[in-house]
Amino acid sequence: MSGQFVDTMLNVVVFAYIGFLIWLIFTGFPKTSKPADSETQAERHQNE
Amino acid sequence: MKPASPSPLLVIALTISAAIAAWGIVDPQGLGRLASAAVATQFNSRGWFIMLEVSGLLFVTLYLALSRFGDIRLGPDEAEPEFSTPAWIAMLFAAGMGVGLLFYGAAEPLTHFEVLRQYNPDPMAAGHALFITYLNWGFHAWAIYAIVGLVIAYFAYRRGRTLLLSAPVTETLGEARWTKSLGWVFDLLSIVAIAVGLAGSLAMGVFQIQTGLAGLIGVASPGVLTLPVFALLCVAYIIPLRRDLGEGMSLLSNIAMLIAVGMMVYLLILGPTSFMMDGIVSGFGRYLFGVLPAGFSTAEFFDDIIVDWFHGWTLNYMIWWLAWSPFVGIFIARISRGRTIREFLVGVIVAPTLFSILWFGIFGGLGFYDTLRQDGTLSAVNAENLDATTFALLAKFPLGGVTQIATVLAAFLFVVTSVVSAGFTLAMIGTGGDENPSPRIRTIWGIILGALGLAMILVGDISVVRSIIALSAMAFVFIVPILVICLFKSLSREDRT
Repeated sequence: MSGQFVDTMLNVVVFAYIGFLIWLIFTGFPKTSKPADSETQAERHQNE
Repeated sequence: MKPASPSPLLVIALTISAAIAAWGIVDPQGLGRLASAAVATQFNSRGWFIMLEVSGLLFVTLYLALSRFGDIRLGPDEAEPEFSTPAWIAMLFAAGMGVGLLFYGAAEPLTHFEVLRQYNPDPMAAGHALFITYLNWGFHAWAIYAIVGLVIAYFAYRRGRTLLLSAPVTETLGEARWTKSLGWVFDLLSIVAIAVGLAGSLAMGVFQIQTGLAGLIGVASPGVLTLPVFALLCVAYIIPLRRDLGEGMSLLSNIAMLIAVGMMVYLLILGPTSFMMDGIVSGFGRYLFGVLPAGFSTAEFFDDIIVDWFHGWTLNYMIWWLAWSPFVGIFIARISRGRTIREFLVGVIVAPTLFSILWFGIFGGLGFYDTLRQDGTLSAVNAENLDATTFALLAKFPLGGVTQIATVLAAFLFVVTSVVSAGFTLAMIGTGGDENPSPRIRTIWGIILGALGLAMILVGDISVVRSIIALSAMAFVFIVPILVICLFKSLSREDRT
């Protein structure tokens, strides 16, 4: 019985994780206060 | 000048690795029991997810190679590849080669065969055994390496970040506190996975070398050679870790690869050539047209023998490739600057897989020839001791002594060059991406790897060693998909600009 419970819980974590991935894919990433520098190396090279 | 104080990442990573090593040395059986039980629970519950993920990664690589993203260069648009294509492919072979291939060349197909012949006629069992070996070492393995290597190379060379796994997270999600923390955890887990994975390889190398040496010098019990072989390996890798030998290490790696390739060609010519070629061609065909559905197989509806066998081999391998993916990924990223994503994926996935198909086709073919057409001594040796199978096979050919010495030497060189390379990589990650970490930190990692290797040796059972590696890498099942999403987000952002 406890084995079945552990099994279910481990899978529930996986389902939650899959939900998180789907959310990441379809809704994008949460807004952050300080966005990353999105300048590519190619652009940096050109600017130099 | 006063040296900079070590980063918390380095200190915590060293502490965790040292703690695992100390546990393994003090109570190897306890560590082994815990790892085996934890991994068995994970595999029983999440086997479906692991297979779904690795198949998904293979499809992702196919999509990237065939889509417009394939034209994007890993570097500035005008970048040229650093190495010529033949030299690059040779280096990819070197990344894929290693003590594992020497160890499992004939042993793995024969082990699968012994399980499968309980359910199938011998010819079918042999064909399926080769297929499963190809599945374990083929496209899926290299898709895992390729996708992690691609993420690292893209963010390092296209987006100007470091070669660390934290780079995609902070680049794509922004430099907030939680993203930095998540990236930090990714770096920490990659260090632990690399250290434990390398230690497992070190232990495997010791088992292989001691078995070969024992046969050569006539020692009845190979176990007495364990400590001398281990000590010799430690001395051999600590020296290059202290002094950067650069080109020297790549020369040693090339020598090991040439020995392995030379032996493969020697066996193909002196062995039953047409039998092996028949096996390779039909095995390749079966693999090519069966690989995608097989990647989704989970050994459902079968009895415990098949389920345990599937967990112990295929699932374990997939986790093993994930464990090694940061290490191999960083290496293939560093040699692939300036290539397009398409070139990168085709080269990284196809070339080493074709090599594995040849390798296992020849070594496995010889094992099947002995079992199905001759006296079957190799199967008997394999059932008793997997380490001895390669040497028993070589002993059946002319110049058996020479080829066995060459195998011991190649195993020795593979282990030494892998540990030296791992010492550099671990020091690089631990110092936040410093591509020339200090000899002191590299040496500390060398000592930790040695201690972890000793713990693995004391555990003694190679299947338990594999469980420990699997446990250390389990988190990568959850890390890699996030990295892939970061890659896609960044690629589509680039596409829009």
